[in-house]
Amino acid sequence: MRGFSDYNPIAVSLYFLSVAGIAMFCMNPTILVLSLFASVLLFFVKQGKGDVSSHIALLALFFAMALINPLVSHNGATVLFVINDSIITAEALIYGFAAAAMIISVIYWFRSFSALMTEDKLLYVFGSFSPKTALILSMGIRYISLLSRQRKKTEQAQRAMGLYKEDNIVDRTKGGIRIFSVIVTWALENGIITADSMAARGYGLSSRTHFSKFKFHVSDAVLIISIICADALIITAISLGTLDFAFYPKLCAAEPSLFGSFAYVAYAALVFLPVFIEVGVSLKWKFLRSKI
Amino acid sequence: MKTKIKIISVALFLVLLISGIAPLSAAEGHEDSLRKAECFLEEILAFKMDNAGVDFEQGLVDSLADEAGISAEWYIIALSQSGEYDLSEYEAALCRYLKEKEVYSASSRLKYALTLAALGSTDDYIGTVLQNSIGKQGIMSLVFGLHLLNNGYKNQTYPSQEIIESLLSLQCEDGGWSLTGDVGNADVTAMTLQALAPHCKSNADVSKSAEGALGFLSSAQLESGGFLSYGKENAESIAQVIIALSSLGIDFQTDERFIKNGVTLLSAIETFRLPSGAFSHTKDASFDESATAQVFCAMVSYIRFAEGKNAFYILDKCDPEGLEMPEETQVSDTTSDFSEAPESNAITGMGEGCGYKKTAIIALLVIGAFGAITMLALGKRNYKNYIVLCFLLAASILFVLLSNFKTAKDYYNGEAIEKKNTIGSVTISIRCDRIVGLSDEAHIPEDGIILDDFQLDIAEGETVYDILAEASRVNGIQFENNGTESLAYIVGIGYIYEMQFGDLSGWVYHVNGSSPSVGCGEYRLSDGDRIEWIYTLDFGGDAK
Repeated sequence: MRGFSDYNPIAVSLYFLSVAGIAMFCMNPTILVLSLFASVLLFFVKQGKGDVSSHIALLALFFAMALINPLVSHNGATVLFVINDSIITAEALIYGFAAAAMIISVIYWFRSFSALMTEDKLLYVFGSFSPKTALILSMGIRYISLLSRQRKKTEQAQRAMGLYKEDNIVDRTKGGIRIFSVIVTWALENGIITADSMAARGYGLSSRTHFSKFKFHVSDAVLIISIICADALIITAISLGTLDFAFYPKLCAAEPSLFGSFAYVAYAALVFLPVFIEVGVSLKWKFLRSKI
Repeated sequence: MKTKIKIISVALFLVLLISGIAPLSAAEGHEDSLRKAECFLEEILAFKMDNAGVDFEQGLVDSLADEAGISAEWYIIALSQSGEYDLSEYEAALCRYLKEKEVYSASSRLKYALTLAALGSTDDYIGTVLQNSIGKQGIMSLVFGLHLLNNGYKNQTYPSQEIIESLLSLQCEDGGWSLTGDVGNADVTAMTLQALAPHCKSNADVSKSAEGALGFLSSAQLESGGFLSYGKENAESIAQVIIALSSLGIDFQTDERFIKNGVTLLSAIETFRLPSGAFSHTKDASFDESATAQVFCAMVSYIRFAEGKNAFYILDKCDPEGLEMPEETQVSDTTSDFSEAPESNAITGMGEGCGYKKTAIIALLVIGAFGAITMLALGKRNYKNYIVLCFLLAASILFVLLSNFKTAKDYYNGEAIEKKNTIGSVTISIRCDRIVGLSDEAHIPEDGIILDDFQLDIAEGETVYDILAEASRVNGIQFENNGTESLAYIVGIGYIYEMQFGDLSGWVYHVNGSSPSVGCGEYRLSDGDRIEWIYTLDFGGDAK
């Protein structure tokens, strides 16, 4: 038994593509709640609590997105109140929460994705059919951590030079803006340097091969087949309309059906799969250690 | 020869039989009708008690106090006129409501004053309204005003003789009355007759005009016994006619003029009755509060007539002597208050819900002070922090002042805005015939008509957009626009949005049958214009 991140990268990529893709294209509250809950849970299981302030920022983003929707969309039959002749409806508010749940859950899926799918894995998955795509993708993802590291460095340098005051909101915001501008300049410059240095090392020449150490086990095949089965079931349910959910003008779910509930169960199994695998692995590890 | 005699004798026998039965059934009908009316009355009461969750009538009366000023007024007038109930709790609730809330519609103010009068109240609200509302909002404010004066209230500037003359001058060619236009409307005609009824005997002009109005009502009555109002047969119109006829002392159950195909008004109104005892607005529709309340009034009115009591609007309990008339100076003050209030709202943004604004601002100030203390305690003592806090506070206070929060009930109150400089009226209709049958969604009307020829007064410079917004608000229709003022663009009406039925679908408007080349926020209307909003599937190509 292996941890979820030790499965073949193709299976792992397919998994993230499925869960995030379904959450993005199916505006169904049950699906979205499952997706949001599972994505956050997976993040905490795999990476601990991480940077707490980022969770708070995402929570604030969640509420901001949910509350802005009723201000711009006035569809819906249940009028909560009226501001200056614009109606604020319960349906628009609920739609806002659904859309916010979708975006936040996809953000968490990709946070887990970028943590689990390291550079070599990305190269392995995409390298076989398009090495250039793989290179661009891995370099792009590399920039996320690169920039946050550079931000910390710049901040420290600015503070050391006495340019950075933190005791009031105005100066802190000003400092933040300055650091942002420094990083953008640095990133542009760094991009050019990287390109030059890669060209000097012979990147982009034809007939280059790549090496990877990943093998394809039977359990990978099992994982891929079960993901595809679940996807097929859910996509059929979506196209048959059994997962349809109308927000406007009144909340209205499709008639509950046996097939629909199968699809819900399949999605729930899919989103919680990595958590189950991780928990199973750690239980086994503890069990084996207890016997030593 | 024999067969001929047989046929003639059979025919004669039938004629005799029918002519014998008819008066007999009419004589029986009187008692029956009264019993029927009482039965309707009791069932409505039972229904209301059931809804209020009480099992005795006084309990219902007390529960109506919660709806004071909102929907209970007609029940209260009828209850006060039908029996001895203790309505003091409701009276207190209504006085409280009227103190807290400013009522902009003159007709509504008069309705509240009439309700207070029916309760025997001597609140000075009645006096104020008498002075500032009669004749301020078209025919209805004359009708309600005359009701008050009929009960012995006095108005120096507008004596009842003058109101009667104004009403008579407003009568249409066909004998009826209407809110606007020159074709009579059964509802308005009946309501006007109710106010004129007490003057019929003493005033020859009134009685002549009432005869004309009765002729109009009789000819407007449908084969089914009902009346059309805004193109729909409805319970309220029949109820108003019943009140009018019983106020005039006409027994409509036997009067030939108001029996069509043997259908009397009472049996016509029965077709709107639901199994629960309540009434619906149109046939086969669901429960309607206003229809039920008006039928309740109609039944009380009929029973009063049958028992030989005064007309429905001659209030038993009212006490015009006990009323202290406000002094002249006060009167002019309050008058100007009422008439200028809406304008001052527009400038300061304060108004109706002024109370909540004060609370909100105080709450914001408290939150600000709390934030400042917290920052002080946490050691963030740089002055710039406090400047930011003040900015945030000022911005939120400005938002509270400039915004105007209303509850859905206040917003969709069904009342048109009282306009000062009206230059005429326009009709507006909203249709989506093109998509009927394309989708089975419940919010798409089966006949494709979202709003049927609705008439509204217009003021100088009002645009198609303004009228759409007002008509939607009055009729409780949802709509959404992008942009405001002259850039307004309508994306959806009645939950039907553009591009829901293909890339070329959306809302277009026509004025007097042709499509203007400017946006709806720029097209200025003139008197008599006919606006049509049409849902097109073809970029306007299929809209006529």
